[in-house]
Amino acid sequence: MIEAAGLTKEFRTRRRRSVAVAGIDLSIAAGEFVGYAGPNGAGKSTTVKMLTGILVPTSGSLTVDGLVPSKQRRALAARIGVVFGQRSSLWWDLPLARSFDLVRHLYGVPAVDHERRLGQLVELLALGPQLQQPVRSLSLGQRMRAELAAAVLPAPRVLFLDEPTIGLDVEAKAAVRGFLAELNRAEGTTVVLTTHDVDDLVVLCRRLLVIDHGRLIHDGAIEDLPRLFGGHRVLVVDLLEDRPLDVAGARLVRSEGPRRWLEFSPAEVSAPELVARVLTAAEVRDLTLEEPDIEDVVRRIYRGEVSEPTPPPRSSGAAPAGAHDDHPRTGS
Amino acid sequence: MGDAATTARLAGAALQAKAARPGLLAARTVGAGALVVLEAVGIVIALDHFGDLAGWEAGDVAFLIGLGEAGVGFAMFFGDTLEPPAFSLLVREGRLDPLLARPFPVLLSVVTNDVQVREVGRGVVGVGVVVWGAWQAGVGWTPDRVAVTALALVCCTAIVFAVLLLGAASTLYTVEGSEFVNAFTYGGAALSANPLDVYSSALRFVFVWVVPFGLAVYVPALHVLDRDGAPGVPASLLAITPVATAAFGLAAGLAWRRGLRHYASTGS
Repeated sequence: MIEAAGLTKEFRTRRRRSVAVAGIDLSIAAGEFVGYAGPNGAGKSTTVKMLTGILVPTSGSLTVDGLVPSKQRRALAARIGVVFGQRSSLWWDLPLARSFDLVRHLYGVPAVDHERRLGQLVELLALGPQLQQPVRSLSLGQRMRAELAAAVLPAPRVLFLDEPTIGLDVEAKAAVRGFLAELNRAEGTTVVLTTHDVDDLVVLCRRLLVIDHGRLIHDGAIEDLPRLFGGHRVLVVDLLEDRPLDVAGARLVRSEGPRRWLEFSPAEVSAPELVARVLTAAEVRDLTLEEPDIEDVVRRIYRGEVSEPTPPPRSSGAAPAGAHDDHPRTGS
Repeated sequence: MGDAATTARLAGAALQAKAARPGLLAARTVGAGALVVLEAVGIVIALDHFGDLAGWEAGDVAFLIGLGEAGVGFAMFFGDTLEPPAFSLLVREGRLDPLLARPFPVLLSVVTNDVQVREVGRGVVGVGVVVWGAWQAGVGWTPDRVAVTALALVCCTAIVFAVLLLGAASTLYTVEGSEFVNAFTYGGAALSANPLDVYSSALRFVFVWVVPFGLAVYVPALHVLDRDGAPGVPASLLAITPVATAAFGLAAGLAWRRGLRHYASTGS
């Protein structure tokens, strides 16, 4: 559905040249639900704007649903939906129903199909009471559901979402997520989701792309993130007796009765090696290995604290998690 | 055909949005028209006092003023969104992006994003000033003169719109709108209110062959008012008026397309 190779975007101002997206290779199949994450300024929005034909790439090749976005902008626009969380695609001063009617004409949806689909969407997104209200009078949650309905009305093959849950309360977020999951499942709509909301990614995306400094640093299952980017792991040791424990390569971060929390970096010492060291140093009742959770890792990615792992992450579905506990890292 | 119908719908939506405050809208429309009247009256009174302007009397000059104002008014009805401050804001606030994501020509989306109804007041009053000027000058309205006046209105509107489009294209490069463009739209219309006879030959050249306001206002006026043109700008240039207007419009259209390819969007 989406194929990109060496996709690059440079911005040139009078004297400065900045590379927003530095050669991205990407392949997204029809029906996938892909999350796109990265710190501010990493190139997320620039990528999405190239995929939607809004920006013309500086170099590289790109097709979306078989079309070249920058050359076939209009044809592509008819097949995709775009929701900009912070920019409205609706007619601000007119009743919401008018916006839907204008969308129908812009996309040339036959009246009968339109009525049926609009009926479904209004019910699914609970927009009935808002249809006759001017868009500017809608709450943020209502407006976001309305933006979604407008984007999905023409039955797009790909849906691009840029921060669709930004500023929403918990309930509104749940409504948006539920709708997106159902759309992806029932209609097979390919979804590319850019978001700062970690829960959006964890709940919705089977695959996660992470971009940093214009480069893809992760493309794979979201569950792989802690293993690849976790940085530190923690070995929890239950000692037979409450004695001091000092092991090379690990740092004692917490101590509670006979229980010790040892933080270590897999780059410096592997888990089996550390376990061996612990066992020679003390008598042990039990051992558990704690993984950093996905949320934690994604938050660190957004803060720009995570650098490129090496070797490049394998595609999802390769070896089961845990089989390769220590990836050699060269850092960046 | 489909695009025309959709454009009409989009413009209708913009009109409907404006009509939400009918009182304000009416006041602004009347105000825009009144400004034209005041401007025309001021010049006419001055001319009445001092005689003529390079042989052009009050009625003749009013004819020129009316054409220029009508062109600006009608062009600004749709073209106001392209004006430097408005369009620059559209770009900076990222509101151009959703328009680019529509399966619809970008320019039609932009111009129907908002319409300036009050500018119609300026256009209509401009036409009134044209008619008044012709009456003062003792013009007998033959079908030929009506046709030339209509051509002048269309071409003048098109040229003002094209200047706005050129300005918008430059905004796509610089993001910051340049008031430089206003010098050509309002300035161009204001300068074309004077007979080209009063300008130096260099300025006359610019007004005919670079930004062809002279071909759209002055040259048709020569025909309707039965006058001889200034050196280098004979009445026979009328044949070139539609061609030059089309060429200027085409150049503006190409610049706009180039600008869109260069468009860098904003924010992240």
